[in-house]
Amino acid sequence: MARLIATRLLTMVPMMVLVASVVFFLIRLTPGDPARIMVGGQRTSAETLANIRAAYNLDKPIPVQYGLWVGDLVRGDLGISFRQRTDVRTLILERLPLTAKLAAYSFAISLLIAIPLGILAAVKRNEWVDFVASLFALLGASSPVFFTAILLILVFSYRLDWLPALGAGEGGVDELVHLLLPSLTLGVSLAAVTTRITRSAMVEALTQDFIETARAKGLSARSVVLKHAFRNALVPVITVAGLQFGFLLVGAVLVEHTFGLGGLGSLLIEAVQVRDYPVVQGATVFIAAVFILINLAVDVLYGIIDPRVRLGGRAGA
Amino acid sequence: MTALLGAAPLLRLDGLKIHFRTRGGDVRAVDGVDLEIRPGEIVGLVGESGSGKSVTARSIMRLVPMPPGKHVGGRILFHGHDLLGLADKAMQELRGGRIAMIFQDPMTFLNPLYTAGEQVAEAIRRHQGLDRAAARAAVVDLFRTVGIPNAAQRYDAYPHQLSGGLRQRVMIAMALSSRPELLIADEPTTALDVTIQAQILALLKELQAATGMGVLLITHDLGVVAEMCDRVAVMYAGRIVEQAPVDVLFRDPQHPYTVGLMNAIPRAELAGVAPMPIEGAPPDMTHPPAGCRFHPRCPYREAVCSEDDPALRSVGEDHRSACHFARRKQFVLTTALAEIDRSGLATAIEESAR
Repeated sequence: MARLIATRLLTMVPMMVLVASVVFFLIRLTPGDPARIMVGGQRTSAETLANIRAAYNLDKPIPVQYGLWVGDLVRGDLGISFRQRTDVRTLILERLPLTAKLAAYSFAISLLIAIPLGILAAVKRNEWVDFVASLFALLGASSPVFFTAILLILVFSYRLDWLPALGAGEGGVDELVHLLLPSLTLGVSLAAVTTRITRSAMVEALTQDFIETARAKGLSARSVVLKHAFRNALVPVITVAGLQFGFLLVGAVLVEHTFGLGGLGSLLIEAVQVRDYPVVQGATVFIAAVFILINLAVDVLYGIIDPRVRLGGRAGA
Repeated sequence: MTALLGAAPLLRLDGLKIHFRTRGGDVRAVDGVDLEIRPGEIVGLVGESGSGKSVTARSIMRLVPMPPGKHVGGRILFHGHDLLGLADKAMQELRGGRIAMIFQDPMTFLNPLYTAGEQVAEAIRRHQGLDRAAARAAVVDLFRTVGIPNAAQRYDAYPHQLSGGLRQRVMIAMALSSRPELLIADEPTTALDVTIQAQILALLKELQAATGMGVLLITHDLGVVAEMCDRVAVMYAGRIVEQAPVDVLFRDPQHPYTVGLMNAIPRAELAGVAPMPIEGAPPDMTHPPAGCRFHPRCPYREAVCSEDDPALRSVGEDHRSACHFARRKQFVLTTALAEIDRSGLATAIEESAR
């Protein structure tokens, strides 16, 4: 297991270099001159533009710019935002707590809905619970998040006046209350997929022969389902859940907009709009690193769940 | 241990009918099975695939999922009490406690994510309420009893780290952990290598003798029956067609299907005797043939066979057959089976025991 982690951390290096390079060149391929955008599209002398370009190294050939950026990156320096004139790392760290909380909160809500519902749907296959779960998954997956968001705001803020619709609150409990609707919006849409995955993995697990052994031992239905079947169903579930968690970092942007929250997703989108190269690059590299670490965590979980992964064994002997 | 003739039955199936609902109609998998197991005897249940043996075995444990299965009629009497009337909780107590089961493929029937020891300990803790440490000690003891070498280390082995023979020994340890009165063994050696088969059968026989439990051994292998069983029931198309003590059945079979099964066995040691497979295939159990279900494949059939469904009737001491012509016609056995098969398997078992 330690070997697996070490190998994966090492392979992270070339992957990060690749991501950094791709984003560096892609952003420079998109039309739009950062210097012109910085001056706000006003008529400006060529001299001023040249000064701006010089200040941000934009006058240098692209390979040189690339070298400078990679050099800084290796030292952990993500550069200075064109627009906000602030350290990119500071910008990311400012936005990160809100995004992390929103992601964790939505993720928890999604699992709390999806796993019990998926298990129940599999156990009571073709009964009404199963149909309700299917209906929920269909609605959750097919209604866009901004629609769900508006619906939730209408019901819980406007009609019932139970929950705030805008902003991130004042920290602590107030923040939790403010994040409830956005998290619910994201959680429901994620839960739609996870419910289906959990259900199908459980249906598969419940038809395995060892389930019959567990029943023949006299175990209760609860032990059979939760101890013997569910653990076997976990691998596909955490695979999907891991991807979703990564997705939450940026994918939350629509929800952030709707609820007036400024998270990492919003930072990235705004930066792309104004061609704020250092922010786009920095945020992308950061998010890629988180993605890779989540995948690593998922792989470690596979090993914890399944001894055949951990011990590298195969059937027979 | 020999069968106690006339002893009160440990288990009695009384006209048991279990059908499965499908789109094409009800499949009559078990369709009126009468069977008795007395304390301390090994009863073989023989038949082709699809004859309903496994469903019969599973229905005793109430492991048949319902739906799609449904209980259409009959009773399952364990010490005279109908198991079909038991509440789920009481049935769970019985499963793995007084009635235990081992299965065909020890690879797929063990959970790959838990150690062999944990899976056996789970049964012990469930039925005997032992704590973790005591259960562990009990499992290691059981592992020794069923002949698992390095028992203490094997506790922590995962199924994929064990050989097929060891896995089946783990399954046997699990089944025997609460000293069941009845063990149901569903083709326990079919998935194993031939040499391992003999070892496992020898172990089962030895454990049966030591504990005095009753055993229902499901198999399609008449050689296994000859070596292991006190009595045999032959199953065809959801019913028992013949039932007799094992010596009687091999010497004096009174149902054409039993005779057909015996004639179908390839006999390498008998030069010039070709195996004669039974013609045709088992019937579609959504629409079984009228009259005797075997009549379309029976070389001895007459008009009455397609009209009248023969009941299981006595044709000798402790010997019953469901054929209109039992004792009325001479069924031709191409070989006298009993002696050869028994000595052959017995040698294999002796060798493996060394």
